[in-house]
Amino acid sequence: MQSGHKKIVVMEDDPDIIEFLQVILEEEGYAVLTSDGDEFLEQLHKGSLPDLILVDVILTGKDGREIAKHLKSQEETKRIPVIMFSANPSSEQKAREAGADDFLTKPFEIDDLLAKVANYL
Amino acid sequence: MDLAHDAIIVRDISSIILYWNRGAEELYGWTPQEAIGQVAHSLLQTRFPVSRETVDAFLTTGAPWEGELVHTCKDGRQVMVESRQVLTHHSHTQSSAILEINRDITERVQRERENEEQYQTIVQTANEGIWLIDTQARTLYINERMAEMLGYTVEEVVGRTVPEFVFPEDLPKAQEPIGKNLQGTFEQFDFRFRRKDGRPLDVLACASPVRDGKGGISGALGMYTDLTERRQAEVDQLRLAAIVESSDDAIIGKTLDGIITSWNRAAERMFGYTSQEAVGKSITLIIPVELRNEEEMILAKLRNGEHVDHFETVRMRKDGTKINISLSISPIKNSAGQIIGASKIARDITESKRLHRHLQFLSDASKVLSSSLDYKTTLQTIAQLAVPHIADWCTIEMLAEDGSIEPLVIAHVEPQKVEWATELRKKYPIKIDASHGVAQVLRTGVSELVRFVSDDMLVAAAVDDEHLRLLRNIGLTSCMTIPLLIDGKARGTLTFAVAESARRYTQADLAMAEELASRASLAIQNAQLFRAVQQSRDQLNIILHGVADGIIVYDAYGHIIYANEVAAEMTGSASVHALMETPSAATATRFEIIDEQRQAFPRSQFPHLRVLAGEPEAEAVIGYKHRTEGQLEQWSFVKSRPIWNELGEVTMVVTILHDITEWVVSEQRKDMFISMANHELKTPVTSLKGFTHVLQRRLAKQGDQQGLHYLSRMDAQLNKLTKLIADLLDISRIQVGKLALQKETFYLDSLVDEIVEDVQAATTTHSIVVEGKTDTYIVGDKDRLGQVFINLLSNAVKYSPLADTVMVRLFREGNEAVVSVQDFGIGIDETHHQNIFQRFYQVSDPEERTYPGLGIGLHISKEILDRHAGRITVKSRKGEGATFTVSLPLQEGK
Repeated sequence: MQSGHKKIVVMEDDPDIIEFLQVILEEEGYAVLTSDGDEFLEQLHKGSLPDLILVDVILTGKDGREIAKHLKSQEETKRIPVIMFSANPSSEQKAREAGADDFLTKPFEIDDLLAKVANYL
Repeated sequence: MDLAHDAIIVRDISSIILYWNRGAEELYGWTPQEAIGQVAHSLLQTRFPVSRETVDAFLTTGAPWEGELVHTCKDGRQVMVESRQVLTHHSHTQSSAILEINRDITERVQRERENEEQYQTIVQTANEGIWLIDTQARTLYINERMAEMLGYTVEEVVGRTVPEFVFPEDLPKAQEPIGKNLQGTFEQFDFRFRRKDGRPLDVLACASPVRDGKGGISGALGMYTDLTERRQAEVDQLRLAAIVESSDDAIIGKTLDGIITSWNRAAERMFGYTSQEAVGKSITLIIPVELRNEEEMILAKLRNGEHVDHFETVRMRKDGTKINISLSISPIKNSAGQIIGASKIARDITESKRLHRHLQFLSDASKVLSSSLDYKTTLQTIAQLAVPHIADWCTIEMLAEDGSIEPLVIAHVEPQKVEWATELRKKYPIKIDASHGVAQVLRTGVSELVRFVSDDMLVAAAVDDEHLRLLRNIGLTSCMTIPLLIDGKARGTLTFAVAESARRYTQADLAMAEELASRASLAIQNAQLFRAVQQSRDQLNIILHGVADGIIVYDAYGHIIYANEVAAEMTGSASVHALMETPSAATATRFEIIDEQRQAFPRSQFPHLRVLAGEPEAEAVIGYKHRTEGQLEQWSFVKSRPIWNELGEVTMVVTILHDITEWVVSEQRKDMFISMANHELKTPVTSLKGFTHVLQRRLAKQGDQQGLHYLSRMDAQLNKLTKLIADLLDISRIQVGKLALQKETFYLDSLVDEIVEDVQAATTTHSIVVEGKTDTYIVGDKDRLGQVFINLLSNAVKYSPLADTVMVRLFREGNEAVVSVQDFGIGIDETHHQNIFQRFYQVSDPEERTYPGLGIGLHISKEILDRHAGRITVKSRKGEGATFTVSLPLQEGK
């Protein structure tokens, strides 16, 4: 499923995961911005809001769920779909409570990821 | 008839006045000129006793009418007249007229009325009861006082006879004089009436006959005097006199000059003078010369009307000996209130002083007894207290273990005498078989009092001449020996003896000594008991303080009555004292009390309160989070149990606090470790899968089919690895009880279909056939239950390499939804059926070695079903395949 230049922000602290996600998503025709979370707010304020955000539940020194909560509480970002992933399947409930629109358990099938992304774009 | 002052009026039958004499003018004020021609009753405003018409009608009969009339004079004054009227005929005028002669009786009536009132007042206010009866003894009149004396109202008595009110027993006594009285004699007699409330009324009756105008007797008038008070006063008087005479206190009356006026029997005894000898003499008779001033002072006080109370002084007997007395002196006043003398009450306090000394000694001894638990020291102190006030010698003997008599203490005021006596005792020990003294008292448990120690006694007691000489030397005159009874047995004796002083022991002394001995015995028993109790309490304390667990005991109201130091520490109190004084406050200021979920612990859920509310046992895990030190936490496992009394009421609650902080912390660490391991192990797999995918795309573009095949094998192995990681972590979670479930309601058949589809997709060797349906909604963790079916289906495929089918059957059975998975493989020998659901269990026989695994899949499945109140069972025989059956309870109402 091609989608022009839809912009996706990937927030993940493992560089390998960031790398393959970037490769795969760009091959699918998405514009990908990666972040380990720190510059996250700055990116948002640059004016060009992403079309979808992928957030890991456990980020170094951060809780991905707090980020999701923050996004969903801001007027300008609350409509951006958020997909979270975690190695712990039991994190799904808490992720959804924090406002995540969808959830994936690590490790995940790439096809499942792409299907979910496409679903929201 | 002197008519000069009478008013004479003639009127015609129409009452027109025809004649008006001088008397009428004087009485009424009108002149004849003014009166004649007027209507008589109009002029005089006559008030008739009956109507005017009746009087006029009566006159026409010709008979004279007499009666009293009230007339109003010219000046408005009212007069009362005695009127006589008669109808006359004037023969020459042939007319009739009425002659009226009126005499002024106003003053007489007035006087009579005043007399009557006076009389009434006298009768009514008389202190005597007045009772007028007729000849039948019926009441015609009684006054208020009489009625009051009887307790009735006047109305209740009038008409009834006197005997009706007489006290039945006194009826003969009263009836005779009343009878005579009605015969005409004056009678004076006493008897008792019965009051309305049933109490007797003592009266003195003075009764006079009442005569009618014709000399006959018409009744009797009785005057009754209430004697109750007088009787009481007589009795009191007699009693007082008796008291004065029989009093043990000397009671003496004297004038203000100090002359004795009365002298009772006790005074005779106390001072040795008879009444005849003392009365008329000066009180200085009994006052020692050196105290004469004292009497002057007392008399001065009395003249001022003051009392002298409990004044302790000394007086002198006739024989010259002195006597300790306590004086109370009161002024005697005459009826005019003047002080005319004094009454003096003297009490011999020689005895009371002795009593006082006894009491003082007992009180001191009691203090000593209660002050120490070492009874030997205590008894020694008591013996020292006894000399010389109670005794010259005091010895205490105790019965030793071997039955010998052991002198515990010998006391005397002079130390050298004590030494000497101790030596004597050593030389002549008390013989156990002696028929008197210490040995006898120890044997019988009965006290011995020897008022007078005679020489014969000494002779009998002496062992030899030397002994006798020494005994005589001591010069004992009186002694007493009292047993110290412990548990009902004489275990020792207390001996008091008099030698130098001339005192003699009496029963009163013995009673005092027995009282002391019983107190001492009690103290010894208490000391022994206390020591035993203290010992066991000390032991218990050591145990309670030594245990690592906190122990708190609450009373039935939830107040702490005991806590050990560990408990104080664990609940964050500064000390046991702080915990007991301010239990909740001490904790609340420093700690936040939390439950396992780290929420504030609800007060009502404290185990001891739950037990007080009726639970037979309650437990909880309670965390104490330091408010000031941030995250530092202490965890306790708290268990409370009630203690019941014989009525089945909870009297106490014992709470044990077991510190589980380390356990909780290590559990938390394990939890954290599992969580981190999960993340750390799965992250590389995620990358591997990601890059595999990237590579797959590259190779697909290049058309490298061989490479693609290898990559898909890699991906499959990665999936296996993922599952192994997940299983291992699940095992760890199960082990620490942290296998969390995310429960939701879902349709079971859909889940099974989904899983079958997934597993089918991954297997090419077998076809999975699904039969039937449960048509059931289940509340549970969909992923976890899915995991169970994946395990069963994977196993079915794995252990039936030669078969090509796996059967899945869905159905309901009773209250359960059932999913069974059947394979047609190697089967499991029945010997293993019990064990295959255990962790790490491997069916270990040579053949099955070719089917490796961690032996955890079935264990995890069983644990998951346990958490859903479900079951997993197996049916299999070796070589005949296996059927695993999962049963899940149906939801209520579905």
